[in-house]
Amino acid sequence: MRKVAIKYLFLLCCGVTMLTSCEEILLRSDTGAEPLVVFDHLWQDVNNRYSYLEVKALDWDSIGEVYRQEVYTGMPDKDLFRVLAEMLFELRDGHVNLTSSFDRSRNWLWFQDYPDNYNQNIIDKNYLGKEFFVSGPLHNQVIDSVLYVNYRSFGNTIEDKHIGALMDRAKGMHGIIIDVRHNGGGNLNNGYRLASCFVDSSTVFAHQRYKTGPGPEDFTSWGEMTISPREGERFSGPVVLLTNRRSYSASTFFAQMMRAIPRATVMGDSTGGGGGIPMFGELPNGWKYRFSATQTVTPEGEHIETGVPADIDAAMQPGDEARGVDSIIELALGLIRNGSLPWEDTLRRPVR
Amino acid sequence: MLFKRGTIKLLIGLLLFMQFQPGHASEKERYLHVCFPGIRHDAERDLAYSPLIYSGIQGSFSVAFSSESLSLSDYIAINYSTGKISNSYGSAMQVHTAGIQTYKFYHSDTDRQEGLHWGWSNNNEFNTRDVEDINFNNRSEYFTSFGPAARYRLPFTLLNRQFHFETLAHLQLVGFTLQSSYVTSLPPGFEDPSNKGITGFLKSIDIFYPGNSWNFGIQPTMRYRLKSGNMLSIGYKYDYLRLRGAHITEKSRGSWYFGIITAL
Repeated sequence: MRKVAIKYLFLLCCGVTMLTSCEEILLRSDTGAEPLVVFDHLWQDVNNRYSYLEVKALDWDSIGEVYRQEVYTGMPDKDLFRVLAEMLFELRDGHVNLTSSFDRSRNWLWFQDYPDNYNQNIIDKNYLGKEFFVSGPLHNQVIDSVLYVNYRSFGNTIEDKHIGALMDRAKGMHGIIIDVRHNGGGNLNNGYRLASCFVDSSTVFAHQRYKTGPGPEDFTSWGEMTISPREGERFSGPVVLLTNRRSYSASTFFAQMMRAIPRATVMGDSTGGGGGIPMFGELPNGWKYRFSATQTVTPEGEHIETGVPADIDAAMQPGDEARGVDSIIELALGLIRNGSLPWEDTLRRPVR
Repeated sequence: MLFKRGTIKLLIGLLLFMQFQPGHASEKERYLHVCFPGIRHDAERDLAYSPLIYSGIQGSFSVAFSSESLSLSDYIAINYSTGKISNSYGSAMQVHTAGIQTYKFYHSDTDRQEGLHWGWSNNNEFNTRDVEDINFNNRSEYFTSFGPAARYRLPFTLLNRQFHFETLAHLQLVGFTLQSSYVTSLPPGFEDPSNKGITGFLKSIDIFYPGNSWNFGIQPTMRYRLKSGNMLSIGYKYDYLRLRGAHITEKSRGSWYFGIITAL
């Protein structure tokens, strides 16, 4: 009798499983998209995984309390979005965004209150000209025996063949100018590839660590970030990197790479920052967000989140700009021609 | 159209081949199980990225080998599935799953073809999910585990034809897992570039144990035995997986498949 009961129970279980195919039964249902649930999810994830709360001395509990009071059941999506966006704005981080179908929040203070120090029309018309080379994303032109390279976005992939073409063209040049002004970042691997042309041995340029848990001290140990020399041809002359406040994220990392290379000089304005690599998440109502989840410091232990300073400050002069002259490129050309670049690391300024 | 015709011809040829295959009367029986590409419904949630359930239909493929002696049955299956799954707001991610699962059952010769058999199972699975165009967009997990297993067999006759109903079930209890870290795609031990190879591996693993991680499944199959000793099968495989690493990942999956079991 017992055996027969087991047999039929087994058959019943199998039959029910096969016929229903309800795979979602065992998963807890989605929590729903009530405004307070959405708010709490975002606040909690920032609290747990955002990497700069302590560095920026942010009281996230207090910030959460202030904005939570503005959230109520049934509030319109656009009002909820505004509250969440304002809360995230407090992080003062260009790597923080909230994205919905109708808007994308952002904090662009890292460049909005600063001079541009860049004019693309002048570059196109008077420096790249009509006959410039397009080596992948690296637009380049020879100006008075100096190779000028304009790189618009680290999101555009640099391949080894592009580097090869650049090194080929750089032969016999007095120097190279790499212009990443207004380059808002992208893939850091492109920075590694480009910097590999200017080092002769492995060079540590920064240290990085990742969040490992919700506590303020829950990080991995600091890991070295290293530039390895390129296997093919490299350039052994002076290199000048041009930056401005809109050089952000991967551009900031690249500027820090160049600061670690003795024969490279960073010129222009401080970069915008963005020293944390952002991770992404999704809210219970389907909106997406991102925020920094890592920290990066110089070998001296200074955070690069708020930018990497230039070795030589330089700004666009209004008179020059009106005449179609880029003051910063002219300064770089002059220093390369005169051989008067500060090549020694001791001249580097500390990161703020 | 050409593909369809070719597939039908191949199927008919395979069936004819199986019909005329001689049966085996040796002490040890060996079978090759080939499942035609089936469909799998996958529902999962990865709290590292989203609190929302992602679900959808995937394509799946499986091939297995079984060996049965008088007192012991072995079964090893290789499974693969892939597809795009999405949440209720339309966001999608690409999922790949590959796994090897083994079963071992103990029985006597007299009850080999009928009744409940106990044994154990080993499950090894690698899952990866790609969310398009973001940092750390690939999250993955691997686990190896062991636990008890059961097999129930019930032969019966319908319309003068011989059928076999078989169900495999397993519950994984002990093992280890390797998962993406708290924020990145890499297992935690490999986030520090100085950790390489075995050091990174050892610093990345978590223990799989009841209450912390779960994996269980059931696989009922109906088989029709041909004169040759080969079989046609139709089956459903369900399994639930919950892994707790830096975050909790849950999966609930069911596959329908049609296959051919060839006596070797």
